[in-house]
Amino acid sequence: MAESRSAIAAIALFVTGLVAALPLAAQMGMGDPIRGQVLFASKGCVDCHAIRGAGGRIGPDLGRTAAKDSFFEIASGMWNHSVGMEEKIRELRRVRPVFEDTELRDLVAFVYFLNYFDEPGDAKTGKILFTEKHCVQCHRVEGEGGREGPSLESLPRGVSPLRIAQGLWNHGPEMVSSMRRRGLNVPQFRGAEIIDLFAYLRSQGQAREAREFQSAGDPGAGERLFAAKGCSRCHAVFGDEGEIGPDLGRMEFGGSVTQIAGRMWNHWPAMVEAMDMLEMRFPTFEEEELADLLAYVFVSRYAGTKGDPVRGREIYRAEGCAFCHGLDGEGTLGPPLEQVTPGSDSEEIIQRMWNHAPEMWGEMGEHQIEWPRFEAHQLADLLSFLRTAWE
Amino acid sequence: MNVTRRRFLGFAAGTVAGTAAGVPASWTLSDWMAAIDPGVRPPTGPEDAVLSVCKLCPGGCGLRVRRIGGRPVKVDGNLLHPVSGGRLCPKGQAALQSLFHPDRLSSPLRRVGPVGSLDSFEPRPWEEALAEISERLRLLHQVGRPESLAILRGNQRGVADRVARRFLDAFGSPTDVVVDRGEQAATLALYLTQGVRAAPAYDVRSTDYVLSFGSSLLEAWSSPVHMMRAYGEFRQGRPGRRGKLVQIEPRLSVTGSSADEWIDVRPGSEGILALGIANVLVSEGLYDRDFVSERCVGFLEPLAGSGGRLSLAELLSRRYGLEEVADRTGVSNNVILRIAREFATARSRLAVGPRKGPLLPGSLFDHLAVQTLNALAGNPDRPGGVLVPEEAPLAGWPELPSDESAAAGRARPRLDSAEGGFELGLSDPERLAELVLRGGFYPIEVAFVMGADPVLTSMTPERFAQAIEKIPLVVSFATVPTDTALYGDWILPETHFLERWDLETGPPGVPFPLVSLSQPVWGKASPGTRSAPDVLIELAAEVGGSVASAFPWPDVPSMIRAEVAGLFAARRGALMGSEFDEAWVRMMEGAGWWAPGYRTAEELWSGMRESGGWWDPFYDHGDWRRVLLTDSGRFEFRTDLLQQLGDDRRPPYALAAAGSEGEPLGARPLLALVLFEPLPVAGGVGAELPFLQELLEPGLEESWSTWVEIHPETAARIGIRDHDRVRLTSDQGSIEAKARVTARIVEGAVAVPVGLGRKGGGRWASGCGANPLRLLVAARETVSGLPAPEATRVRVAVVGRDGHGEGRA
Repeated sequence: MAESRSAIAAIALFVTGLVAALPLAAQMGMGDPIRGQVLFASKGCVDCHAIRGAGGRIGPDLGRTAAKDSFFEIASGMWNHSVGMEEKIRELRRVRPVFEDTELRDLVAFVYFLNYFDEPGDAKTGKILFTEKHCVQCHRVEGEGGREGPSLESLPRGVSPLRIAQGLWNHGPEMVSSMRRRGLNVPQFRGAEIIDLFAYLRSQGQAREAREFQSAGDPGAGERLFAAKGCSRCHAVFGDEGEIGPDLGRMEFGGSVTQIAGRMWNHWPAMVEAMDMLEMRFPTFEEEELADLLAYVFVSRYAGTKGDPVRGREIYRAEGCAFCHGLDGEGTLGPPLEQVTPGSDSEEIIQRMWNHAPEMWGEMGEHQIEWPRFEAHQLADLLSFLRTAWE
Repeated sequence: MNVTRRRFLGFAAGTVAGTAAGVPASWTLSDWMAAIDPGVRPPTGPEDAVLSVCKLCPGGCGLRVRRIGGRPVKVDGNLLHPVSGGRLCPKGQAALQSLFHPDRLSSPLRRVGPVGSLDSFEPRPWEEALAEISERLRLLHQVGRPESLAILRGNQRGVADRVARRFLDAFGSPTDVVVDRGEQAATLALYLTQGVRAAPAYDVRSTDYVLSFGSSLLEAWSSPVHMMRAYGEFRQGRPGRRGKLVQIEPRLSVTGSSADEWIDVRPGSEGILALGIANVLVSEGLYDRDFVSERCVGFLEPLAGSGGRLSLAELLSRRYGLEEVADRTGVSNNVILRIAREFATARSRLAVGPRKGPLLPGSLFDHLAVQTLNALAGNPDRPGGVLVPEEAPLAGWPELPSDESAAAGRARPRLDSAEGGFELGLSDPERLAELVLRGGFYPIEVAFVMGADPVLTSMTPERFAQAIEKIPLVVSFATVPTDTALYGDWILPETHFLERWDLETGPPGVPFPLVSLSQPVWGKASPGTRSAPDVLIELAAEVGGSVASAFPWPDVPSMIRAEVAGLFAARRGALMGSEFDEAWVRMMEGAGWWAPGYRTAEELWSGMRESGGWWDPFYDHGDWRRVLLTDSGRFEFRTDLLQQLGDDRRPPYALAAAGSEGEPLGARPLLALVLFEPLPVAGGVGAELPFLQELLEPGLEESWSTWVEIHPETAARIGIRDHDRVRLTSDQGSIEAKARVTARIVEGAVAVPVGLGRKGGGRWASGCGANPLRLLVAARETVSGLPAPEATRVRVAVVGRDGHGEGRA
């Protein structure tokens, strides 16, 4: 049979433990990641791009290499690679994908959510970390280790990493004081260390409960928890309040929610200090609370930093857009943007840009204009300008 | 339609001539067909497709049935189905031929004459059939003898099986007889060594070296297409990494023909060779020391409490030394050493047990030997090793209504309890037949036969026929009359599997939990037919009381919907999807996440209808608390059983065939009987379809008949020529077949295909070929109690030459 399972469109799968995430996500202007995943297969992206090893190998693995901290990072990545992609598509005699309605928005939402979930960690590295981070001095695993802390063998096998993170966080006060009493350093997690450590613990769980997988949290509930647990007194998410701690929208995360949980743990000493100062109670989490809280932070970062239309105007002129579309969007070689972009949102404009890229190459090649490439913040500025310039 | 070759050629010629003569060029195929035979109208109308599952074998391949104007016109594989990935074997391709079989029944038939012939049956209305059957059931229930009901069935892991079990439980009978023995030996071996009640799943896809001990990997494997796909990956799916297959068997099978190497062993000595190879691994220190020391018991000390006197190391060195194994198997020392070293030093290696087909599960000794070899190689539960399947989390059914009489009936001993089946409760259909004939703990007064044909496929067909005749009321469900049905009292016309709803759990040998949804390919079943589950539910309603209330659903689709709710509640797995989707789910669940493509049970249901079903491809390797459930919590080397079973395999049991011991080869020698199941008729299903009859043995160009393979030297001694008609005679019976002289069977043995020789099966199967199961002596393996077909010896005599007349007897 000529076709294979990999070559056909997937029928509505995955990425939607994000179910709960969707209402708030929609408020953030985000597309539907479920549809996005279907599009990833049906538009042929999967033929060239893998997601963490699954899929094609022609283009980069979007699960591992692409920067995708916000909509603008993903969109600029797509735009910048469109020239190289076009050449490859012609070479392979494939059809270049064109997007309609909300398709590009949905596809970007899918790619954005890839960061939410982490990859399976390396249990062997985790075992080493279990010793290096001094966990073994208080906790038992594989029949060895201290007895001061609870035995981690009592965890269910395969328990979700956020459940472990939540347990770690909740027993933090006890743990930190015990470690300080013993003269040990409180562990800090870098890179994927927390994922590997948890992978080890997940592989050693002995409890015979049914395997329990965790879905994405509810960002709506997370938003309420952000205030109720007092996080907002120190932190803002793209805002002006809570200036004691870093703005969680603007700071660089570059990892899954488990890694974000690791960074949350790392800021323990600073946080305790600030909470003492504000006479706040140490927050603990129950059931799905940590997942909800992190889902809120994750979804909130999608929109990215707002663009500056003034800088956007400069980019419009400097990158040659005005050459074809006119200084005032009146259109010369290209279509009159003044009739197109005002009132549209960023996703709609990017979709139009993507779809008309082949014509652009022709014109630009003829007039020897270099293909414009944008950093994420430049694209945010440019789109801000295009949305508002000729209203 | 009756299109003869002459007529077809006329049609073809007419096409050319007609075009030249000015026949409208716009004529479609439909126009031409109508012109040829006005009675036939190719379907017209909108095109669509319905997803279903093939049930012509236990393999569970996903089907995509293409329809035009609502009429099925073609069957393809469902690309999203993880078992078959869009592929089908010839059986699957023949599914429509089965649906449109001209001998399909359209009315219940009541026997009014002697058994064994369809001529003895008369059509009767459904009402009469159900009235008589329900009256008998009511009577049994009223007099407090519910255990006198038995159900003999296949094992398709679908609604029919679950409804049958439920019916028996509600009625109060323990005698649920699964006629299909396909996985019994392998299941027993896994249970005895790992304590798990499941058939092992061999991860051929991910290994580098396969030692196949007579297994029909590429033929009648438990899920043939799934295994063929795995084999494709093993050979060519990994750049720079081509797996090697070594096939060990006395007859060069289709699998052996595809292997890198065929090692011909004496019949019945595969397990001995496995232990011989194990001995090399131990004596040369090539075994997996970490696995053996951390996860096994019985290696250096006998297994405590087993009664075994030898450790595995002792047993191997004393009983399976190189010289002795070479002598017993006919494989040279050098070959044994080479194979053992290749196996041990491969990056990943796997030994596969001797399952030859649905009817030929292999012996416990051979499977235990292979399990032992796998444990020494560190294979249990590792990628490329021996995996343990998980059950799909379908929602359970409500508690049975309280009924003292039914509870007492269920507590009676099963009439077919396998003597050696340990506490697994394995079915033993031949024992049931014997107890019916000789008188058991209690009589069987009513029997249902569904999805099975024991008079054709049991190891004692004639005894089974007598037993069926002796039971006062036997009701068979069939689309086309089976052999068993001809010996019963009622034949109820069953809907074809493409015409009904079903929810089937994963086939044996597939390691991940999987649920396939079958949807009817047209709105209404064929006239006069009903599905077996529907009939059982209707009969339950007729019996009334607690039996009726055991089935609270209005119909089968409602029952299925209730079961699917369990999949939603399990919060794991995903809809069937592409390979990308599969990899994604594995990765996500490997990391502890679950993100399916459905938000509600309703979305899950509609997604299953569009994709074919649900599954969970994530396998958690090394979950020892799930896969090592023995008392010791470790893999147990059962030297006690190996020793006991192995003693039975000493000469002359295995060697008589080769003439080295036992009766010497002479003019009328006793020959070992080697049975095999060609894929087209494996499991006793397929001979009713002409497409499959044509494909019986492409290598020897055999079709529509039974043949006997015999080695040239053996044939020369007896005076047999290729294509002679011969008679095979055992202590049990005799059959006639065509001799094929070929070097692909070892000397001193004959090989005969199983699957033909039917009385029933419709116009194309009835009277075609012979059933070699009629030759089998009533031997059983000690310990397991499994039938031992390899114990049968036959003599061969020529009865005709060039297809004419009687020859010398």
